[in-house]
Amino acid sequence: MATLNSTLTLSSSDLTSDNLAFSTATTFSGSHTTGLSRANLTSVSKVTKLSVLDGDADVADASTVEGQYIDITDNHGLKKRYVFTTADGSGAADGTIIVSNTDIGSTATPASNLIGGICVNITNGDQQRDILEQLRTVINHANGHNGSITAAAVASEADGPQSCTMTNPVVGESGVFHVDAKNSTWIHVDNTGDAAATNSQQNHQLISDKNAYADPAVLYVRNTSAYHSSNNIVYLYYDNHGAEDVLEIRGGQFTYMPVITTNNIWAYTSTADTVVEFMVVGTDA
Amino acid sequence: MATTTATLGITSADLTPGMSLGISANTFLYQTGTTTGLELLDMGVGQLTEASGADALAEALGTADTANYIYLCNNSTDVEHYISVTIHATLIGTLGSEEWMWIPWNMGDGDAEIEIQAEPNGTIPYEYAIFKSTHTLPAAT
Repeated sequence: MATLNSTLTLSSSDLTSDNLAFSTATTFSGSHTTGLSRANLTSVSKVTKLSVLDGDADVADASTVEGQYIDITDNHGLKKRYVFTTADGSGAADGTIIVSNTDIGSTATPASNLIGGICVNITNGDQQRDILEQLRTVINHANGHNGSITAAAVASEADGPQSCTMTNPVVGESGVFHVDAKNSTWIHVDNTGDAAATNSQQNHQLISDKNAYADPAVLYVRNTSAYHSSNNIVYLYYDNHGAEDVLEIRGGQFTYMPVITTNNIWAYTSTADTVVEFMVVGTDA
Repeated sequence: MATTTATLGITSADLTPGMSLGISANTFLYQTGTTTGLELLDMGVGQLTEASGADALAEALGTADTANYIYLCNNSTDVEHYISVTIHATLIGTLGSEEWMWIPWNMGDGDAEIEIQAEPNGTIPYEYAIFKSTHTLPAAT
């Protein structure tokens, strides 16, 4: 076991009549650490939304999207792969669960990574907005997330990015879902990271991985920005069912605290491009 | 305005292979905005027992989105004694014997009450300090 020494010193010459000169130290035995890491936080919200790049852009040939997919995971860990099939071919209808001989449009032998996916059946000439709207109905479908996610209707067709917002219909439960826009293959997903783009837990920074450490573990986090009362705030939340924020760390502030390892800790920010510094020390889970 | 400085030092000679670890961070305890000088300090010591269940270390009374800080230390020397620390029903961690924590705290948020609970049996001495921007008196009963 390695030894981690930590000291907190509080000092002031004018807070109290006597000088405040307080120092406390402790040691912590740990064998594993993330090391001291820094991450640039870009997501400014816990609202989950899936965006397309250009709502009124035609997809003249739907077969160009055939077999592409996007993965969405709800707050209970239920992951669904939504796969595009082509109506102009003989692709399976909306909500169909793909099996080894499901026709996805040009073939009835879908790739193995599509099996188990849920069909979103699109047509030549659909706009990106239309495809997103169709996808959102399949998310709400009995074979989709079937109510664990409420995917809201997409606004009428418009130029530029358009999005579908997803919420949790259960009061008190988190609407922070995971939209895997990075590893999914759907080419129209707006994954640019700007304000109009797709946003989900994937855009947050994992600070403490529940699978990495056993209890007890300790966490150090520092906001490297200059202090500001409302900008560049780092928010930390546990991904339990509520996913409520537990800490707000403003510029220059730091925390040193114990953490439980039954949930992950994630970070997002009030202002894009806020750099957070963090380290977890514990023992191997 | 008072000027209070918090400094955190973290060191280890053997946690990271091939190099020693040395982190030093310090901050002025600003009031909301960049005015140096939190002027309200609440500090003391107490004892927790498991039988008392969860107690509120501090009520979340005050103005929302203000700068506040909490220091809490488990002063027990019994390694079986730890303190569960909760923010609004979210268990954030367990503070082992002779361990301390330091967090910024948005106390004005109604969901921000800090709760502490002794685990398991026994009496656990603790000490705490809360640096605050504002103070709201509890309503008279």
